[in-house]
Amino acid sequence: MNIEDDPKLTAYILNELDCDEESVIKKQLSESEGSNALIREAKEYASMIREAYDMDPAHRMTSQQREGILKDSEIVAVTGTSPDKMLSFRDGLKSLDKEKTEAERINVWKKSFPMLVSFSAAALVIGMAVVLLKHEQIGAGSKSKIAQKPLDPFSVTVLDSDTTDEQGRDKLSWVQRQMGVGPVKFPITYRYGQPKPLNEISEGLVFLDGESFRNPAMEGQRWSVFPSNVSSKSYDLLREFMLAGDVPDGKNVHIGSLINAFEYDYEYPNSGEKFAINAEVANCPWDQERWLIHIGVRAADINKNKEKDILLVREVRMAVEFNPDRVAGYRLIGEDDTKKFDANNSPNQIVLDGQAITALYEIVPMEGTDFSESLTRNADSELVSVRIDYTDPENKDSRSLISSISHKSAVAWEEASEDMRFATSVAGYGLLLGGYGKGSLATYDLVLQLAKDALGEDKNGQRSEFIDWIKKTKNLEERR
Amino acid sequence: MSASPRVIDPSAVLLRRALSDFEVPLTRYAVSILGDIERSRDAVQDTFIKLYAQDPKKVENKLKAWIFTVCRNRCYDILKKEKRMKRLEGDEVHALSSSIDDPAQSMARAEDRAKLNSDLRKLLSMIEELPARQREVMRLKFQADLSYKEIGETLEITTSNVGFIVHSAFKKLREAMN
Repeated sequence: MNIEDDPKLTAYILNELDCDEESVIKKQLSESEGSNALIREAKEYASMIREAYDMDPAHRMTSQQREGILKDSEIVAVTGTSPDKMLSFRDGLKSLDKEKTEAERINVWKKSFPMLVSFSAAALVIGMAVVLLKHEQIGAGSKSKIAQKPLDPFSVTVLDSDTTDEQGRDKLSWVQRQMGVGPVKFPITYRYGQPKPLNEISEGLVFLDGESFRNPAMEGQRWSVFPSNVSSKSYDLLREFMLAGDVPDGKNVHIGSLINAFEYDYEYPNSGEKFAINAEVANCPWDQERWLIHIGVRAADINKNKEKDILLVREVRMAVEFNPDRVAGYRLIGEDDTKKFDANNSPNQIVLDGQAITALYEIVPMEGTDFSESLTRNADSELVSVRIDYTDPENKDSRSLISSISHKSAVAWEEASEDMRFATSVAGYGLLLGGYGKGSLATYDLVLQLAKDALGEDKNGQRSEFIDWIKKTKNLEERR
Repeated sequence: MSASPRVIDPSAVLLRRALSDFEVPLTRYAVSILGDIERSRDAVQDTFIKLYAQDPKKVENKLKAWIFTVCRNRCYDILKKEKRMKRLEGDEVHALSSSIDDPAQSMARAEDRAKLNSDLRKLLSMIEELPARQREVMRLKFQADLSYKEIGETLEITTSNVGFIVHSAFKKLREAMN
């Protein structure tokens, strides 16, 4: 059969295939001569069609209609997305130098980067970027300036930078979002070298002690996106049961949300910054062969002094890159983390003003990576780096923030911060409740021990209440 | 925190997200059905108001398909109400609606299009010549960026049918361009 007549090929070009189908098509293509050119040409056509459609005027509702809707929902309108800005933006496009635009177009097509907006938009935005942004590069292995934050106590380096190489892309995706089209592209860079192509049998997973972990050496598994988990449903459910003197079915408790329902004392970002990354690493209390990486992100409290507590920061992606030289396998605790990282299709997160976001990763360190090892500080010594890509809510810039954690900063869990011990306790509790703790050293006594000395300021009494819940749950479970 | 746990209205969060992500593609889509901007805006407004009334848990996982489905139904309701819709098959609805374009609108659009290079112009006219069903699917795919699955849910056809329609239209366009 002529592969060109196969609807699957079109679906492949439009990124509509699932992994299995995609590998079948890829195989077929690799056996067919000239298929690369065919794919490239077809993708160009797809871009052209999008571009043609994009010449439709950017119709919107009237501002009265929009305000009516927003008023109904009692949300304050954000000026940055107002149609006026959009209009001036589009007007700006028209004044662009035509020839330059043409050159951009050819250039970008050569890279076969799927374009969802007009190329003139890209050119304009890149132009704007020169004015608006600093010119720092983040590339694989390149070291950006080491900024503002003190390295201790957790040896977190903050590499604050805007993406220049990807800047065009970042900007482009911003335009896409503003114009309401297209998925957001996550610009991929690898700090720790290129991953290996996926082996179809293992799907990039690695089996250690009978459990499966994601293997960062493999394509699609190097990066892990963690969610902002704004829902407090699991916490509310647990609380309801506890107040009624009962234990909920652990399968109904989403551990990731439960961890995030508690408040943590993460540092706030410096003024002008939108996020601060706090991170630390300690050995896992319920498995001495493993470590836990605790990532705490704090969003700036932009509207602290304003009346309304509104959603401010949107279009945020928080992700972790694992160093395959240091990490043999990892998994994100409390999340369904089986999906491979998909650069074209990772959903945007919503992060609230002042929100604390917590992610706990369980990792299996590479042999030879241990607490005592002392290396000079370079990318080799990094366990992971944490990356936050976001659109600045105030000036709509696309920004990236990167922090890395050195394996040298690993401590025994008893020495970890109160926040980490508490989050670990909640995670352990959730694992026990869901019946996932079998075969590990996790017990209610252990999670109690973790939480007990980790009260912190406990301003709203949540943590003390949780400690009561652990005791209650232990008693109830023992009676069963 | 520094503050007590925040009270979040998930419906409001969802509405905001939907507004920022879909207002333009949705209005464009409505215009493609109704042919004029005023009624399209009303349809879009109704869609968002309806969204706010939904239980966010039930729609957030299929937001895009939900929004386009509701908007599409709303557009056809409007057409019906105004008795502009004769008893036609779905395929012919589109052909009908494009003839009721507002003259000022089409002039503005014509001006815009005059600026396009010849390839894009040619492509646009070829898209216009596609059968109505293909045109609608292509618009949802390439302009509104819905997935095959979402298009299928919106138009109540199977995903593989969507794939086939896109493939045929795409192939036709490529061949014509060559």
